[in-house]
Amino acid sequence: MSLFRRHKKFEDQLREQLGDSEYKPSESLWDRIDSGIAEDGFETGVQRSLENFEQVPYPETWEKIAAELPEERVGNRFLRYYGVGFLALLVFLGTYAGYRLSQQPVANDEKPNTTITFNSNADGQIVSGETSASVSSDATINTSEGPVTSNNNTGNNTGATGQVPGNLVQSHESTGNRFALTGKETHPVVASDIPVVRQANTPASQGSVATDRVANAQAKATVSVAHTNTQPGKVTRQASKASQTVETDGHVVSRAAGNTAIATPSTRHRQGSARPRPQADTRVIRRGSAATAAAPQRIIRGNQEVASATAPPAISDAAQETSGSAQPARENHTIIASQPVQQPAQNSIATTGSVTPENHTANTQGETSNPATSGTEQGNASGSSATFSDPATGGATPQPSVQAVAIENKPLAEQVILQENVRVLTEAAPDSTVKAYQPLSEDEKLSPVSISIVTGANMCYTTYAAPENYASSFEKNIALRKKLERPDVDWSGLFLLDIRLTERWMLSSGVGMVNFSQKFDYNTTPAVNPGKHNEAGAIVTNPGDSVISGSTYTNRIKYSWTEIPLLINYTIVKKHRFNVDLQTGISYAFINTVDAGIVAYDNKGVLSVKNTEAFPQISSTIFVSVLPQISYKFNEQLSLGIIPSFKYSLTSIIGDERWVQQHPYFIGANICLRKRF
Amino acid sequence: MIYVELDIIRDCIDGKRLAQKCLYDHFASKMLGVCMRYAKDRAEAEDMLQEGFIKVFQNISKFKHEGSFEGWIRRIMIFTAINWFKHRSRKFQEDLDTEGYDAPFEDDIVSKISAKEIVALVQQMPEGYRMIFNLYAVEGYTHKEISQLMGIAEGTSKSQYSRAKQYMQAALAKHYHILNEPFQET
Repeated sequence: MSLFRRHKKFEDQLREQLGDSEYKPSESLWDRIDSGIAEDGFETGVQRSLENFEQVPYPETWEKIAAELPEERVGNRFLRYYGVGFLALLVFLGTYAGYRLSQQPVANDEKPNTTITFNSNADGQIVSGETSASVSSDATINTSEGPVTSNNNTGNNTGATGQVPGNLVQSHESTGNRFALTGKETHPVVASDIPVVRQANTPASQGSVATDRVANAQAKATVSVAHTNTQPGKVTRQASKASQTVETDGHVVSRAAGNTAIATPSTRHRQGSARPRPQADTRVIRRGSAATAAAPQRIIRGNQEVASATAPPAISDAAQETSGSAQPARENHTIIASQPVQQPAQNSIATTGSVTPENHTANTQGETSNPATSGTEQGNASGSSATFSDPATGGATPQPSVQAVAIENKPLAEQVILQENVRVLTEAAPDSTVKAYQPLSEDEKLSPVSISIVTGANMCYTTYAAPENYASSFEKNIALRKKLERPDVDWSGLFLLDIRLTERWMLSSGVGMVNFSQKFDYNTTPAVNPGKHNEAGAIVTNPGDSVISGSTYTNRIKYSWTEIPLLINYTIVKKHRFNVDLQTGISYAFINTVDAGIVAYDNKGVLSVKNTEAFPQISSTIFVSVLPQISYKFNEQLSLGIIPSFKYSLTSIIGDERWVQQHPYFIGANICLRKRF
Repeated sequence: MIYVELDIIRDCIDGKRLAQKCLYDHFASKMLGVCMRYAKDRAEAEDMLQEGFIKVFQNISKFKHEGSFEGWIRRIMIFTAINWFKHRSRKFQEDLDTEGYDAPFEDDIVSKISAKEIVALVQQMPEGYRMIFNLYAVEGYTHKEISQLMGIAEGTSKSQYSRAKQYMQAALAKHYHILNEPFQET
């Protein structure tokens, strides 16, 4: 043995010896343990007895609880979201109305039957115009037939004959080295001895802007008037174009405003019963609080008899509580229809109004307040909830073993009190049937308001239509333009405020931007009598040059609108994760950007249209949209959808009805992100 | 009866009256049964129930889903009853008139009477006995826990319970005797 080895203690050695020893217990040991566990001790017996002990509270207890609780938040949420949405819509409409009002023309002096002369000065500025049946320009226009002088214009450019519709402006400018054509190929313009009509209201003239504008306004008025003279049937439409616009705007606005209904969900809560308002239960209602027991009835509790004032005259002294746990019926209690209290609260029960002695009689069914039977009634009505008579059984109820009168007058022995208490507690307890609570679905828990952001790319097309009531043929012009103006891709976007009307119907409105682009490539053939070449020898595209297809000149036609849509959405398929919707509607689009080249009516020359007022005037329009959507729901609040879209302009964007009418339309693909609140 | 507890709790947190009513309807009967054991009469039990449920709805957001929701509500009711007792400055009855409490009784007498009768007997107890009896015999708290809840000494809890048990057993004996023998007026 090593000297350094530590001697183990006795206890350690003993534990080592006994540590691994095992002794198998006897077979009966577990039985004895099990029986000991199962043995009912006093406490166990009490717990087991009281495990399912229940008592149905009085209905007014819930009323007291509900009165103490804070106000339900759903109403606040309702007001919050609907209020915000409505305010946002009002602000938007107000802004738009203000914008439209600010766009009213400055000058508007349409005078029917006024002859106005169009004259252009040497600089090609339109000063005034003269017309008989139509607006004619005194300027000289180079045509294939040769220079057309002022006096000859009338004959050649009579609107009534369907020829030159009026103040045709060429894209040349007489002053400065301005580019005649927009596009790749640009040519300096030199002053020419051929007076040309400069582009109406082009702002870059020298000192003649105001004149131009006035002249242009006059020209417009003249055009309107002239048109009126020749086509009286179109007075309303043409003369009131501005107002029509406004009207249209107003109509759209009003429609938008009128149709933007604040949807009220028909039912926010699905439930097995009525709206959340505590219903009176079928029982005698008594004040639950001993502290409020100021009844003029005599209350007997425990071993004490609490004296009180006399009973109401209609209710006899016999109508008193006999149990230690009940309080007497008071004047302002209502004895409800004597259906068993087992009925759930959703059953229609009589009111909880105040009860006069007379009402007390009238409200009870199968019961009376007859003093002769009041003991029975009170005995039945005391304490527990299921104490009044069932009309189906004729009102008979078990009689208490101790008469109320007797109890009132004699001191109660402890045993009698105990028996009475037990009797009260042994009366049949109603079933605590809980009405079915059908929790709101996830969809119903959300508010009907949502916002959507739609954006995508569209191919832009145009349909062309010849102006009505014009004999001259625009077919060649339209055919050429169809060749030259080819669709291009551009983007559009929408910001929508959605209001869900029903589970499947939804109304949307908001603001959006629509962009239109087309490629415009062309070539020209020189005029028979071409204009002068510039000094540098560069080729000048003269007004007389014929426009033909080609790609010598590459341009882009660009329009953009700000639209206010009003869309209605119907959910065709509604699945857990996927929805298929169809959304359609109209939108009013007011023009924002104009940057276009338009081939002249006779295929000679190209008009450069840079703003909405330039001939032939690009106007606002009304689009109709069809937006089918397949959406994927990430959760009940957020979804992402794919929308192939089709949008068509119901009205022509060309303001001048004597020009080829254009209806742009778009075919595109968009994505939509929707967030519900 | 169909309900989804989590839905009800969530809606109650949101303050939806319907959910609160449904929760109340579901648990009120049982909780009133709890309150009846702590109160001296039904009126007091109703008040206790009202106060307890208000606390439930005010603090339902604090429910951590650890354990049963019913047990959580029950604890609130019990604490409400304890506070009720404390606020009323009830004192434990130390001097006990033991007359009549030495009557013989059967060990399994509890099983021979109904729950309602037990509750009626409990309501007859002095308030201090009632509290300790409920907490120990019915709720299953230990004397140590009771002493912490009530703010009393553990020994006091034990002695009170012992006396409460004697009272209960004596009352049970009498009640059982009365039920089985005709009432005799003296």
